[in-house]
Amino acid sequence: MSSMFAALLAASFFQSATVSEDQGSPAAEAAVTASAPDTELTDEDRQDAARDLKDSRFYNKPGATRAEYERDWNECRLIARGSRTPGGVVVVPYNSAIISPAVAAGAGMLGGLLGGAIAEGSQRRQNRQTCLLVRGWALVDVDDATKKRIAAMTEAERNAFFEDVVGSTRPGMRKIRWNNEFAAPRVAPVD
Amino acid sequence: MTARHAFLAALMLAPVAAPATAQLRADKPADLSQPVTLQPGQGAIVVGFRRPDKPSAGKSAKVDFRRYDSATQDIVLPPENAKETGDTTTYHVRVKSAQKQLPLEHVVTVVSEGEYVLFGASSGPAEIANTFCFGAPVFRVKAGEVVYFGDMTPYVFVKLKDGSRAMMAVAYSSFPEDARKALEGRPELAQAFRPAENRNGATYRCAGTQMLAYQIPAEYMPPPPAPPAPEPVPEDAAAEPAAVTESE
Repeated sequence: MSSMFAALLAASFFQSATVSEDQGSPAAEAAVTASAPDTELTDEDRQDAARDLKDSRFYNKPGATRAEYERDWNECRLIARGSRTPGGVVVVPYNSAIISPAVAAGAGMLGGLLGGAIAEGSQRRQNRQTCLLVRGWALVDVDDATKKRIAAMTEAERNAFFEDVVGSTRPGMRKIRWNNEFAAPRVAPVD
Repeated sequence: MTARHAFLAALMLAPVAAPATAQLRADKPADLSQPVTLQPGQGAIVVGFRRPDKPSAGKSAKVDFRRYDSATQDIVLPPENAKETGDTTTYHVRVKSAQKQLPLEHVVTVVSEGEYVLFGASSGPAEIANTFCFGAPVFRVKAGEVVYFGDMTPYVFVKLKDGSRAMMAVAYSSFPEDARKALEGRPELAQAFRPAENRNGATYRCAGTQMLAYQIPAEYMPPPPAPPAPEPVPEDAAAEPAAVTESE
């Protein structure tokens, strides 16, 4: 029983963000949070944001610019680290008063499993992704042909491609969006 | 029974018979088999746990609320010396389902008045390890009010219509009349009952392993306020022709 509980608990940590897939239609869900105020980005920040513009995945929000993507990506990174609120306020990275003892106990029970995952940043990356999806960005599931095309591009061509594609409105991209699955799951009917 | 025995019996019964009190962390449900007295500055939150289908049947759930400040768009933390100063403000509310075999149960928790935001939730035995800091419903509890937040339906590893599975979900619905009926046996609560005026999209600092957004579906949101009625035209004014300024 306890191992099943641990597995369920672990699964709950590593479940993917609430996402759905569709074919190139405009954002079906309104973003729930407003973007935080503009921040000055460094070249390093821009390079970091480019880590999620790859042949295998990239973000898209029709009408948005590359600069808006870089700003949102970096803000979401700070939020996922706990050093900024989604409203844009800088906070202390950790405050024991807002972690319930029960959560701490649960985390302790799973010990190295959770600690390792968090340290590696997989959950942080997942949280950053959810943050971007909630802000109205969609994660594009790149098809094999496009992957090959991007992989064959020079750096300049790739840069120009992503400059355009982050705000592209053209249909045909298979997108993963935020869809409120935790509060409104589309549960399959059971006999 | 001697006086000493009577005193001891009264002492043992005291915690049960005493009115529910708000505290820094409110995690005990009000005992609805006793009269529930709200002290000045206190209200209550009602949460329903609804299990309408096979996947939710027999599942337990937990829900966390935190005190919220809309002005700063953040949760309000207790001061470090809150206990020493006897602070009776509720900063953290933990609501747990108690009878998971029931298709519907309601839990009442006494809190201090103020704004509360949904902070996290879990289904089954798992602890709450998420936070809805990317956007969550927020509502206000005024002193003397018994505010119904909504019903939560627990799912664990549930199959979805697209064939995938959600590891965990706590679905929202709202049935105020069911909640009102559940309080009929406690008239002091029933007469103070009102559904929450929930507002989606409250953000706050992220402190939880899994960061999510939780949005009450539109069908359960309170209707938008009616547009202000046009001011009635005074009878005299209606009878008179509009003033016309002529210029040459």
